[in-house]
Amino acid sequence: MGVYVVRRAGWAVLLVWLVTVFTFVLSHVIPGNPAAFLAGFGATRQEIRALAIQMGLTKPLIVQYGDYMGSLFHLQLGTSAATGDAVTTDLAHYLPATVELVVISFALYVAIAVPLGTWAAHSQGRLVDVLLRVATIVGSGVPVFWLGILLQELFFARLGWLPDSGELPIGSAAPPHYTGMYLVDSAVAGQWGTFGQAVLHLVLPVATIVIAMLAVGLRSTRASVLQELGRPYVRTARSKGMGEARLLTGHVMRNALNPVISLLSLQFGYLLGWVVLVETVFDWPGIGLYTYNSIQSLDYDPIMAVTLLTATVFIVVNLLADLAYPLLDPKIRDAGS
Amino acid sequence: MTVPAAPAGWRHRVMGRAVPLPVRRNAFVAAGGLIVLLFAAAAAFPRLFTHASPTALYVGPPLSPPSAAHWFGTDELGRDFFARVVYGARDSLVMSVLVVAIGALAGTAIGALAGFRGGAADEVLMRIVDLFLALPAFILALALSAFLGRGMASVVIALSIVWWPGYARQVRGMVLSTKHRLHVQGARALGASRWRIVRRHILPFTYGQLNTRVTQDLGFALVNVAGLSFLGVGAQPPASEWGLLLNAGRSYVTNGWWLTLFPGLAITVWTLGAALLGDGLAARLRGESQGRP
Repeated sequence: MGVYVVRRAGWAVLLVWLVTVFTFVLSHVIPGNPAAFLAGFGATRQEIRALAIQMGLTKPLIVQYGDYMGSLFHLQLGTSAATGDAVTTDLAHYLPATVELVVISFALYVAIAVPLGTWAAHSQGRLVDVLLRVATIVGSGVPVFWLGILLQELFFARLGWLPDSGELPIGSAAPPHYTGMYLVDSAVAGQWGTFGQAVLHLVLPVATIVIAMLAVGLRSTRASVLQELGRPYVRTARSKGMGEARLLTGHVMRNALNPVISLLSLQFGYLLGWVVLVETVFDWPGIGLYTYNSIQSLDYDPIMAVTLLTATVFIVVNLLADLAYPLLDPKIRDAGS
Repeated sequence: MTVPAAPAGWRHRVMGRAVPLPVRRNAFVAAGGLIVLLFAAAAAFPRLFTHASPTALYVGPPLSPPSAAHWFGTDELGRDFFARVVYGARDSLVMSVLVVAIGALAGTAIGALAGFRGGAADEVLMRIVDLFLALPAFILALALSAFLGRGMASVVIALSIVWWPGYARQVRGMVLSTKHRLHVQGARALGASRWRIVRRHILPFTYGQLNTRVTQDLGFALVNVAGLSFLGVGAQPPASEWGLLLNAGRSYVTNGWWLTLFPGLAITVWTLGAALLGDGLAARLRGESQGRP
């Protein structure tokens, strides 16, 4: 068990380091001359040269890499040309909205997909089968950003039930800042009107993410549970008179959960990519929208920082999933030690 | 070399190989194939589908809804939107096909090398594959294409770079399960070169599964290509790549639903077609697995 944890954690650290190599190569090696970018059109060769020296671009790459890693360790991720702030400051500002969106969407998704998938396996039928098959194919074909626009079209433009974008109505005051997550902040401050508005604004982006992921999750949970239901221990438990609810939750789910968890951690990676698209569609002021705006103005430091952050989060989530397997499955625990 | 006569019931040939009759009759596969063909035709010969120009301004009143004159309506500059969607097929499809082709070829080559050589080469290559599979692909592709500069070429390069590892892993697995078979040993005993063994005696076993994957990937690649264009790193105006159209159209959610409906539908229908065709190929593969490779 100890060896397993150390090996997994070591691999995760190595991965994070490789991501920093990737971002370094991107930002220092590939685009030829970042100084020419920054100096802008019409800059003379001397000006570019001066800027390059100032930026440390004339030093040997290995020295530049040392400088780069040094600044990473001090959490200096550069400056955003668009906002004029340090990227770290910007990230701290935009991150809470993204955390709110991602956590709520993913929690809701798991809360729907796993029980529903289990139920679908238990009530085996051709109709469920066909429905899921169609939903999976359509679900993987509908681009998540188009799905968001369609929902806006329907629930905002046609029906007028829900707001189309943003975190709160334009012009309304943000709740006092505790965490930066409006749901939490407004609840803590007891501003229930603001809380309600924040919930309304969350509905469409959250629904977009949940719908986009749902079919795949349902289908694989169902497949995993179905496989377990065919095993002899299920027949034994039933013949001993165990109730179906207890059988499913206590016996089948524990065995069926591992493949589901590895799928969930994989989907979390997709979600991190989608956040940029979904936040762009819904003007959700998180790091995804920040990335989109940075791309529009070719503002490279923020793009790098977000890449680094997102990849690190994904690596940590995968590590947690890897560490969860032996906790859930004694067979792996014994094999690992 | 003579082609052996196909056994009864295998008269139809797809990509040069016999296909059992029931699969051909399968309506879903036929629909998938039809969709793919139709879209490919639109990409190659857009003039077959419309005489309108995708860039001519004010051929109709701006933002007019779909009508007999303009099937998909017009956009905010009065351009014929049907023509824009049809002409957008070329950018969208060429990018996706290139991504899948480069990804599949590079992945197959690397996977075959790793699986066949084994040892240190295998170890190193597979750790690189693990690295890519352990990172969020879309974000990496986004960062890469942003740094390579906006444009379709950088999207293709960026997506290809994150696309090959999946193929490499799959092909390596298949090569590993094939390379100790008797016919490979026989070929080796007869003195066939490594290159020949890999190409003639091992890789053909992977083609069936790869065909399925490549076909389905054509759809997923388009979703990614369109996503990157939607974010502004891919095709640039005045191109009418579908992701780009979607981003331009979302300013008109309240008064121009057709500007987001049709490009989105185009992406979805293409992906659906590719998935159906891939499903059909997979079904054929299962039916065939008792027989020859």
